[in-house]
Amino acid sequence: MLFPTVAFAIFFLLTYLGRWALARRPVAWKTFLLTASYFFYGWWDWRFLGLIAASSAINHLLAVAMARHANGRSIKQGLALGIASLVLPPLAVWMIIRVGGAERLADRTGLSSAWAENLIWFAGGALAFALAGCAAAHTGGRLPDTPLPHMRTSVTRGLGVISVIINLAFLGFFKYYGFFVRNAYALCGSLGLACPLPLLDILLPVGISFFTFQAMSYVLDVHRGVIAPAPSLLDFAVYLAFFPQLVAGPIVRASVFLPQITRLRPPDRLDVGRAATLILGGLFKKVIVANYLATAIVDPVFGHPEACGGWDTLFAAYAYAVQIYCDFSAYSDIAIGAALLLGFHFPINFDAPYFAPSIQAFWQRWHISLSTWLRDYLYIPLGGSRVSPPRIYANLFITFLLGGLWHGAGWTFIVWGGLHGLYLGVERLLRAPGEGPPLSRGRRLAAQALSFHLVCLSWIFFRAESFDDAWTLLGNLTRMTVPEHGSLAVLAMTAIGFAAQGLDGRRIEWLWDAIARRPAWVQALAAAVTLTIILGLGPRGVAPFIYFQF
Amino acid sequence: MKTLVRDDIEVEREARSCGVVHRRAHATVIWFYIVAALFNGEALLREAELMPYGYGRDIAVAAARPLAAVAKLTGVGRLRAWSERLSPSK
Repeated sequence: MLFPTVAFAIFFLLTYLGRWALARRPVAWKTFLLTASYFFYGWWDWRFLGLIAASSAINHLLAVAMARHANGRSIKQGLALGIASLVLPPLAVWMIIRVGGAERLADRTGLSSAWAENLIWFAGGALAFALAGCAAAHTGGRLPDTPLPHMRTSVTRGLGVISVIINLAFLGFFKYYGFFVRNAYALCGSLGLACPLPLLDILLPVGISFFTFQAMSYVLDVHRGVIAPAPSLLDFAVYLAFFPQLVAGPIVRASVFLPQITRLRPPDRLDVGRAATLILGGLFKKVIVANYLATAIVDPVFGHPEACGGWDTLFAAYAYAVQIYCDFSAYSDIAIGAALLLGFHFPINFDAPYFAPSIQAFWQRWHISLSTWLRDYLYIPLGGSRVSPPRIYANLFITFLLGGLWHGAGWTFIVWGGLHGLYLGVERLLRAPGEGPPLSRGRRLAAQALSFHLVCLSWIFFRAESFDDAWTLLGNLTRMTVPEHGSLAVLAMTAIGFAAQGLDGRRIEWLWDAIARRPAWVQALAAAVTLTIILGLGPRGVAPFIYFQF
Repeated sequence: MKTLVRDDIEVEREARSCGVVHRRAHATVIWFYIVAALFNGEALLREAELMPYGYGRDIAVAAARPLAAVAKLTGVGRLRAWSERLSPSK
């Protein structure tokens, strides 16, 4: 279910009405939001609902076990119950199906046997989820509702390691198995050996990178004593599956979301002006700018680099920089706006990244939720900047290599990450110690232009289908021929998309407040007119967001 | 350029009581859906008719037909038609 579709519009209206109709009954609205989020996720492929439900149950059980242990209580019983609740119902379902339960259900209900089997699996999954929730709540007494300062014992560390291994195993299997096996085959082939690993055709669950990182941050924050575990599995499951940010971020931290979900009263006021601006601005960026640039220049040039000249490649590189910004920031903006209307506040994910005067500043403004995640859970644990200079550079490089790998299972993504690690290393090397004097306007502009071009260069590797294509594209830049795809319309749309960064952050806060002061019907009319113009100007049908594949 | 302290936007806006009370927000959202459905009624019908045959299509066409009729009768569908004519993608 894509954001700019009629299906999502109807789904969102029903969810909005349900959420606020049940606002005074916390368990009811949380259950409703969880059901809506699972429906949203299941729209793509309902088979992966089990994955996200299992991830919720396992991570919450481990976080609760940590808190219990730190509280001086036994965790054996709770963990045993948790494991049993997650293993026994699926086992029972498997046995029921083995003895012909699905056929009997199909005979009685008139369903096809495939649907009857699905229904039994669904019931088993729901039972396992409910039992895991009971297991987490079991063993008496309340969980601490404030973080515990002394969480780091060998047992809690062990539980944290188990959680990280399980999460990385999910991610590794679904996202990276094919990549590693293909490379293992290539390596074995070059060495004249037979590779024992089977080649599997694994479907990538949408949004797995995002919800896995959220789950890991939750358990690690509980372990570090930053947050207390969620009061119930329901709270944590809503956090992990909350539909606006489920499939393409932002990666919202539990420390931001859980306090909002556990507060007894919903917020008194809804920031409708900001939500409308974010949603409509996001739709403008995605439906008009990103889609146009993709079809007019980016896809043709990156799809057939050998058939293009230098000018086309140059225009396509700029256009892709703008397309990916407009595409991804649009998703984040719509997610933040939709969450605002449902009464939840998410931090911003983009803040005019191409205006950044350095690569470091770029990463403080681009996909902020990922860059801060990598900083807090990878760079700092590796030693961060408090180690010897060679280690600092190595830490930076490793962090960005893995950041590249997070984006996709391919060497081009790893090179993209490596380039950014390299940029940051060189920037650090050249930077004078201390703050230094502020840059003059001219030097700042030059620094912004240099940073933007370095980022554009790295996007060529990010977007290219293969290394060969990336080298062909770079080679094209040396022979400037008459452009075939580049046109004034492409340049104008690239400029408009670049200027759309002016919508980021709080640069148009005046507009949010101006909208909020108008009567409801004026706000509605203005928003409906804007939406109609955006939909009319956009192409028929909407391409999926780029970050869905990550 | 204004330097922005992240996450502070929400805290500050909440403290300043930005936004509107729930009832007004709900009215805005519902009005928006009604007006947007009318403005785009004819396009919705077109889209529904392109769906593959089945229950989904029947329901979508049945729901979009009255919207398209009102849009045509009142002329509010012209906004969508006008913007489609200007579209660089069509």
